[in-house]
Amino acid sequence: MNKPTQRAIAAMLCAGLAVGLASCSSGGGGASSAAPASSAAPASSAPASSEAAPAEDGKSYHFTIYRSGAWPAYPADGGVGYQIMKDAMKAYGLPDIDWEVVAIGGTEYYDKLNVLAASDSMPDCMNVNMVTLTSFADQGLIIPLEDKLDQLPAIKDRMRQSELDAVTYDGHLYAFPVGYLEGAINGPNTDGLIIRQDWLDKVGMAVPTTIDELHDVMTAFKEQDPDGNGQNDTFGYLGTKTTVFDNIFGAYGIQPTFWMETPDGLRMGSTLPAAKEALATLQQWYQEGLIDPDIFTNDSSLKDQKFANSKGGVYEGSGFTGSPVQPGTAALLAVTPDAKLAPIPTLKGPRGESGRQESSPGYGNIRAISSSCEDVDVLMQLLNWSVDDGENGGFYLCSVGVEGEDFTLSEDQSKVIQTSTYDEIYAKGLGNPVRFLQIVDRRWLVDEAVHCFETFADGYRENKYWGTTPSMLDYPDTCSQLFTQYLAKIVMGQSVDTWDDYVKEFYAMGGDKIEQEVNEAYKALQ
Amino acid sequence: MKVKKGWGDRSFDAINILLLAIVSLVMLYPFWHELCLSLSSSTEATRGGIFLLPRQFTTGAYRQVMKSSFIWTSYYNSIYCAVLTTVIGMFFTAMLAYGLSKKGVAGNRFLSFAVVFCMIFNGGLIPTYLTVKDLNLIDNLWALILMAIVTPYNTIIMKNFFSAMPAELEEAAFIDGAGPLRIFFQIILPLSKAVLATVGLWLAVASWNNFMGPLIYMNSRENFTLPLYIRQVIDGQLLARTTGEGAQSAVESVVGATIIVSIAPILCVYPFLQKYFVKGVMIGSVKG
Repeated sequence: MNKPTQRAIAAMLCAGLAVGLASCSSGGGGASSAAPASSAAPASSAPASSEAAPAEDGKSYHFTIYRSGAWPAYPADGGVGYQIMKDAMKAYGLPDIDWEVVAIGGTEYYDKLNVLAASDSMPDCMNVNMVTLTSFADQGLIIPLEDKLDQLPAIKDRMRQSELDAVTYDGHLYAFPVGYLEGAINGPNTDGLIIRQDWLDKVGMAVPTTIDELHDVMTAFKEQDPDGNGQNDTFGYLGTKTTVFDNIFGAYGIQPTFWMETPDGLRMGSTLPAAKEALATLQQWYQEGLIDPDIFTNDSSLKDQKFANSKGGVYEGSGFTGSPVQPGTAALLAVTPDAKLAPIPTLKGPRGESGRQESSPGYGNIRAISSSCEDVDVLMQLLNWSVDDGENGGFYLCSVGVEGEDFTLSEDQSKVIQTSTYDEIYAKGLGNPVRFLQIVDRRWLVDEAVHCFETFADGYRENKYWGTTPSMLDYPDTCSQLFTQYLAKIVMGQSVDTWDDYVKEFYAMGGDKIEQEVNEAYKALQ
Repeated sequence: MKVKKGWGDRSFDAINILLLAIVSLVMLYPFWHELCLSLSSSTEATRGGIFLLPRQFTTGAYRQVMKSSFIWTSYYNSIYCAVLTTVIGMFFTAMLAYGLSKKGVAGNRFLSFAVVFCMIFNGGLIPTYLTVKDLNLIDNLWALILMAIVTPYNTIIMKNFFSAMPAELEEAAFIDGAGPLRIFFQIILPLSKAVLATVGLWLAVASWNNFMGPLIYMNSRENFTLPLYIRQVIDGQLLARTTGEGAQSAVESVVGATIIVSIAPILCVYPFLQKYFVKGVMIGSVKG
């Protein structure tokens, strides 16, 4: 091959390789000396702010806010709601603030957040879970917030002390939980068992109050053909693969995935002997065909399908199920128009014990502030505005939209009457996506659901320790997944004595370290 | 001449056809299921079960999906990325592979090693993210394109193809006065349509299905691609259920409609390109 040919080929090779190397490996990872976080989010994606009048000090602020959740209707530019919110903020007296909401649903939200954290590109304010909170706090990526609470007068008194404690780590508050309006319907504990009242009427029984009564009712549901189709195709209990039968375990005085107080300090509920009793009961029910045989493979849509097709009479759900406009219930009513639903109050066990799982702190919706946030005080003003229901406050804009357009308040303000669906509110750029902080307000619930919420508001059991300890990160499966596996095995027929193996395995898989750390952390909190 | 088939042959055919038909049905049904879901009323879709035909036929879910401007934005972004990745990717991969296929070029062995090295080791997510960030490509679709255009695997496939070409072809062209660029563009590339189609298809499909890339590098809703958008629709429906904010919305059928709308173009193109897929695998496997 002659020289010019070689040279030309070499040139091509170099061009190709240069691109090739740049794309298939980034080699070296040259960490640039900390470009400011804001450079990660080009201003082009921020809504146009030039029209907004500058605030008195003439400075404008920009915040990037990460939300764990998916609202596909929320517009990229913030929609008409963006200007509505800006106008309200201006009238409220806030400086000129821009915001960019990045909403990612599902667990991949945390994948993205971890990449951002590792590459020094943290957003200003973000949803976190307890695991992320712990690791970010350890790395100094989020700031302690206990001094900032006073800057949130609109929500401070509506937060619960127990939840503030739950998101306190190493003596510092690292996240804001949600606030709650007064009233049973606005509480954090929304989940419980729903029963088909029309089936109860048919078999002539009342809403069960103990697990023995539940057993009898479910037996009747199985045997007396409550759907009247002449086939033996109904059963009692409907749930999904993530179920921990919290009502049943609660009736034996424990919650399997909660830290329970015992004379020997905190212990994981599933390792206490009462767990074995509950497992024996559940196994018996499963063998009698009272529990959906596919319960350990159901996802929520399969569960809803069976519910809508009247296969099961006791449904693990939330208070929302009571509302006839919720998708699952609507489907049930379309097929069986005379179906009626009733909530089951927390069931009592043989020793009179009871207690469902309480919901995770802050209703799973807690917010942390990044240590790279430059204008924390202004951000606090924005957060406070978003939960202020006073004049020009953002409370309603950030939850149910514009008064008069999307909703009206009843005269005594005890009801929010919605005229837009949530999708329409999101499409305007209002509601949940821009709910920078949350005060739980369910005044929009229809009456049927209100009854469920009132029933579910009480009768739950507390988790004594919500935090994450280092060993939990080292042994990520020990505290929940291990139990889920054994639960399925034992309920579906393995000897109840397998539970002893579970306890052994729990402690062998880091459970002893975890238990020790949890107890130390718990003592430090007291 | 027609050979009469024996009993054994015929029963073999029959079993073959039966088995393959079952396999095809198993593959086809999920699509059919989604299609039926998307065309059923929301209550019927929630009831679920096996669908032979849509129940309570309605196009409401499609109207709802089409109404959203985001699906078109995501569509545009996905097509934009797929087309540019394919075109630019084929160009650069071919150039690199052609150079590597010439034994006498200085540094060839080192560069070949570098390419294979990249196949086994890469920078990892976070260094890559930092690089993209330093290039100011965060929230820019070019991040997705530039990252995808040249992959070691495609390069090796192409290199093998070029190596197998008779050297006499180039020598003849050279004697006739063609320069290396002319040889590459007018002799080699036209003869390499099969491998170009294969690599192009791989690039296009990889770009179309890319989920992690857009998730990590895109922030603004304007830059979401289809996989990300679909995931948001599905997650959104799940979230709406748990927060009770999904009242009056058609859950399953909207998800079904979104999926159908987004896979329809690939489904239409695929049968015509599928033969190149098979060819491409052969190209890579035999020669080396």
